[in-house]
This record gives sequence, structure tokens and C-alpha cells, in this order.
Amino acid sequence: MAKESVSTAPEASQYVTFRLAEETYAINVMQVQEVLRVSEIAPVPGAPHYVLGIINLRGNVVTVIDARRRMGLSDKEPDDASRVVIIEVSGQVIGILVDSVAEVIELAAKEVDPAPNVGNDESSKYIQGVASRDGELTIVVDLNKLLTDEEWAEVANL
Amino acid sequence: MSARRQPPVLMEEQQALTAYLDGLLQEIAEEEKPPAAAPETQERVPQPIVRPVPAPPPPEKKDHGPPPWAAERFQCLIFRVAGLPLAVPLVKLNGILKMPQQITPMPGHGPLFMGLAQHQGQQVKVVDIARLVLPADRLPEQRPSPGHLILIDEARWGLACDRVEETLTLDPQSVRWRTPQGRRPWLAGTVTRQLCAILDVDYLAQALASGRWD
Repeated sequence: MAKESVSTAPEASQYVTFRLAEETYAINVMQVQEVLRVSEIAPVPGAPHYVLGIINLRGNVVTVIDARRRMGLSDKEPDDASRVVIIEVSGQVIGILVDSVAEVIELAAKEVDPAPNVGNDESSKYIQGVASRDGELTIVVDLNKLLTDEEWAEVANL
Repeated sequence: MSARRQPPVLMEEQQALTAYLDGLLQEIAEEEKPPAAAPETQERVPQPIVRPVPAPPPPEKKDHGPPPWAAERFQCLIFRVAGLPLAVPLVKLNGILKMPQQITPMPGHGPLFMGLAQHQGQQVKVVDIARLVLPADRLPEQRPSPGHLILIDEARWGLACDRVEETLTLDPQSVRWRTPQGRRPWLAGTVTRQLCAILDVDYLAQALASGRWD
């Protein structure tokens, strides 16, 4: 019989957590480039409703989307705690506006339960799963599915 | 002064609910008519090659008559949702929880799905069942906060209810069972005497998960 390794630590990944409408969300740290305070965001006429506008990030134009609007949550004016999280998805860099950034946590794969399967609502496909921490649920977001392929293309061409 | 509140409003609500339940009963009675037979065509047409697409199995259609759990006398738990009495058979009930303090809403879902609650290390999907069983125009604007969760389908789903009432022991004959033609597939039948709708728990769980209500 093959000798089993006792040190098979469950596969764990690090996640950046942020808050939106009193709930905690987590995104893979490997996709986060930096976290910015909210500065001037120039609106883009004709952009989708979830696009706040563009910012100049050290000479590069980065589109910022409003995570609340994207997820169908009520609007909230940015305040001191608000942050723009710069993420990279399939080579495309965008910013997402969140209520606040909380911490970096480590989650083992087995700690993340699959996304709740409720109906066939396409608009929640970006929920990768949920993890229970300290009696509260953290919603793990699959950034690759935050926008559809068409939406990614549209955002890239703003 | 606001000492005199308006009992007529409550009366109207009660009347509306009674009318709704009467409607359910009538609908079940009307369903007795057999459906018109579809014309048969024997013509053989070359069938196109269709790649099978995996799809979730549709919720099972029920035959006319009581479901297996109601073959003999059975017990139901009565609970109230937006004033409407509903029942689940005890054999399909997995537990009753006081409404948890913490319900985590999941973005991107409709108001039917209130969010996730935790119970014994498991996530319970909390459903605002009133939005399913009552037409939108019958939903009271002011509703009491849900008091309890009725757990079904191995506690995967929690149906938010105003309050839990009593258990009833029923004869299968005392229930008007839904027929396959019924427009409300979540309805197993209606208890005539108590004017109470019995939920088809198995169908409900499948349909909630798949989003298909056919």
C-alpha cells in the first residue's frame, strides 16, 4: 500500500476581502494589483450603467466599475473608506469600486462551499462560493465571471 | 390621535386571502376536466441529428390523487405566511428554526431568495415563500418580520414564515389534491375544512434549485 503523506495541507489560496452593503466579499489576491483611494473618476458618456468612468493610473487609462451596481445592490456615495481595487482578468486591467477593503485571508478549497444554486439566474454566476468565517459568511467572487465576455470586450473598448 | 386603528383594513386582507384560497379550491375543482387529446401524426420524417444537451431533469409531474406520503392518514404542520395558512407534511419537514439573526443576502438574485443562513455548519437557502404562493397584488405592503424558518429538503431550504401554528392529522380524503393540469405546481392540495394549502415540498425544492416551474 502506498504510503500516504501526512503533510497534505489542503490547497489554500489567499483572498482580499472587501465590504459591500454590509457583507464581506473575497477575491483571489493573485488577481489584485493594487488598492487605491477614490480619486477623480471621469465619466464616459454612453458607457454601461455599472461603469463609473475612467481613471489615469500612472499614465494608463483604467476603467472603473461600480461593484454595487454590477451586483444589483443599492447605490452609495463613495466616502473615506471607499476604495478602487485594481484587478487583472485575462490580461485586462480594471478597477472596481467597493465600500471598503478589509483584509487578506487564507481559504482552503474545502472551506469554500459551492455557490448557492437558486434558480437559473445568470446574473449571479460570478458567485464562486461562500465560506464561513467567525460565524459570518464571506462571498467568494470569481472575477473572471464578473462580466460576460461581451461586457469585458465592451469595457476594453471604452 | 392614532388610538383607533383601522380594523377594516385587516378585514379586507383577510377577505382577500379567503378569496385567494377559495380560488385555489375552485381551480382544483375545475381541473377535473380531461385535457383535449392532441391529434396524432404518424408521418415519418427524417429526424435531424441532435446533440444531447445535458439539462437538469424537469420536476416530476404528479398523477392525479394523493402523493405517496398521503396514502394513509398523515400529519401536517400549519404555518402562516403573510396571513395565508400553509402546510407541509411532517414526513417532509426537516426542522423549524427561529428566524436567524444573520441572513447573508446573495447578490444577483430576485427577492424570492432572501439569502443564506447558517445552521449546524450547513448553509440554508432562505426563501420568501410568500412571494411564491401569493400573487404580487395580494402581498401586504406591511408584513411582519418572519418569525421562523421551515426547513425542507434535508435543510437545504428554509421557508420564511410569520409564525408556526399547529399540527393536523388528516385523512387523504379530506384534501383536494392537485391534478397535473393545475396552474400552481407547488400546490400538493388544499385542506377543505381548514382552508389551507399543502405544499408539494419535493417539487418546490427541485423548482427552486432549477428555476423551472413547469
